[in-house]
Amino acid sequence: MGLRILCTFTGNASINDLAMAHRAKLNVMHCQRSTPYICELMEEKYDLPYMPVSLFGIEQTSKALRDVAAFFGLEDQAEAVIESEVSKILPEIEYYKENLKGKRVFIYQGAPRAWHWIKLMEELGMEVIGAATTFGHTDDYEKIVERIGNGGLVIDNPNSVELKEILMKYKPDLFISGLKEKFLAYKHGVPFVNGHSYERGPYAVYSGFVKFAKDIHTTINNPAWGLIEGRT
Amino acid sequence: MNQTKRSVTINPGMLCQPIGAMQAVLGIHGAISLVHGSQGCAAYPMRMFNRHFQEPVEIALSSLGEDAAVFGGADNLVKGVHTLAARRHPEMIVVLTTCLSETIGDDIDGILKKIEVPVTLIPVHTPSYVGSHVTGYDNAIKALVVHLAEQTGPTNKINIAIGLLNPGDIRELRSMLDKMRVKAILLTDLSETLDAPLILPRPTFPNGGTTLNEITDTANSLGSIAMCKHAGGSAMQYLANKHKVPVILGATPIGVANTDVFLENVSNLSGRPVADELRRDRGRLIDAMIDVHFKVAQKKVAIFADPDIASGMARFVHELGMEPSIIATGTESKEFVKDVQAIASQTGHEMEILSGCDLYGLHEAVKEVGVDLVMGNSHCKYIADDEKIAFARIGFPVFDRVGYQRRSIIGYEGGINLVDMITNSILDHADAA
Repeated sequence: MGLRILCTFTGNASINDLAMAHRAKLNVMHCQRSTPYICELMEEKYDLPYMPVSLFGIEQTSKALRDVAAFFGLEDQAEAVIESEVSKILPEIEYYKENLKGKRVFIYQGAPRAWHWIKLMEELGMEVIGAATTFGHTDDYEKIVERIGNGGLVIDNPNSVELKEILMKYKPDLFISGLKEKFLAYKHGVPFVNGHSYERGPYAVYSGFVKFAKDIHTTINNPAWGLIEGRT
Repeated sequence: MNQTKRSVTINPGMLCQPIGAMQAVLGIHGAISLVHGSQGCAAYPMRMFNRHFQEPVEIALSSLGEDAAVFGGADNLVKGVHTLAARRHPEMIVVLTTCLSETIGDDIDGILKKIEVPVTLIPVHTPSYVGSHVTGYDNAIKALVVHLAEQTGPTNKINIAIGLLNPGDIRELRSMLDKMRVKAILLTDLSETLDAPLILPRPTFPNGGTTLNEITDTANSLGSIAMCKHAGGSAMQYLANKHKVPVILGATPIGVANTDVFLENVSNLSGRPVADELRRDRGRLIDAMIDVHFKVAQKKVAIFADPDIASGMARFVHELGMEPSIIATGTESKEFVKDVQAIASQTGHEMEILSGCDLYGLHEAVKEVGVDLVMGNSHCKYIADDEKIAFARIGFPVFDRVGYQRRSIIGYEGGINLVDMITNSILDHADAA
């Protein structure tokens, strides 16, 4: 699109990058739980506007590109990027969608990913039946409740006893959470993807969406699940 | 070499007391640790156990925040115990202190005495600014026998305090005891709880583990052995003083000589002879050692592990014809230094002994001494990589390769595993170079 990125905070940034960050024309805010504070401070101190985006899935990534393009007047360039990138991944995404249609997902993440990913799962034809966060505030839960389907379970900061009950009662086809929950899911025979540090990620933007879909497809279709004694 | 007096630790070589205590509790059936501290005191140890054992673990937490730090954490602890008892129905809750709750000065012994729940409550003091995870394990096992052991009449069992070892080690220990038909109480037995089969439905608590009754019964045994005297030794010593149960402390049965002594001790305490089958196992280990001796002989080794594992390993690499050149542990211990000095004078090797070192100190020693092989936990990989030398993974945590926790390093079978591991790491390194 012809944009120059001064700093990605905190992804592999150097101190020099950070010292340059305030000279940008726009702050793009991805983690909407931990970074609003710093974005607001930078706006106040350096008059630097910020824009919330989500980079997960086709719809949200495209919207992010369009929003940023509108800010800089680069609409045509953005449309060209979106068209070329989406056409690259669409056949693979269609394949995964066909295979994952109707699968039921439970998501337990830090906060924003829980609602970022409800949309993404829909794009894969999957249904989010439950969402939880560790650090979510009211605004996170408002977004979750708005996006999740009727009858969806929403729970704040569940402990392992509650997670176990959810896995046993709701029997999701997929659980997405972090390392501490991974082996709990496995021990209950529930396919799992590590959404914190990823399995074979990264999962952001178009190329990451394909990796995410592939990891989900891989775990759900792993032959070993079918060998577990007593799994229904 | 005296360690440079640095006023900063760089890449700590040890973990904190509660982690060791948690590992002890994870080997008890139906028991759960309740950490009286702040969120990270449970979250990070859990991650470490998850990564090393590839298993889910449950650790409860009283979740102290700013308020509790100022006004005391008694309310959190009382609520925590009640919630845990009502929600999880454990047989026992072991309350572990942390830096924070010890500094606040919460009287957990007094608080627990006043709580009425149908659950055994045991307080353990594990301030992290004293000792290491090894001390924490030792304190936890001691607290368990102090609170539970009770004389009711002699049995024909022996007590074995395991120390910070793995499911594979405990399986190997069980197999040795079975071959000798010796009945034993293991403190504590995480061979099933932290290596549970995937069969559904999952039991409420993992099957296996040491039972509370067994811990009570430790006062009636024929004798006790602490396989790692730094981790479990205090409890066995307590049983000797209080309940007159004869005690033998160490050495960890790593390698031929240490395993020979261990089995003799088991035989003496239990009155059962060392089984012929074990003599065959011993012969197979020695056969394996002779087979590889040209591949490993004269190689200089740096060993980094918990005190008893490190000294046991030093003796074993000597038996292999290798040179134990640096013997290091992150837990400071005079006993460890004495043990290794004794091995040095018996074997004639020149050994650099590092007690209470960090990984930076270990790295400096590796550079200065110049070794061919580093043995240590996954964090030591970077030292071996930097120095372009071979690396074999032992200790805790091992998270960047799979399977370590399933295999033993103790006993004759464990020795064979180590022979393979050490030799293959040297061969792999030679291939890659």
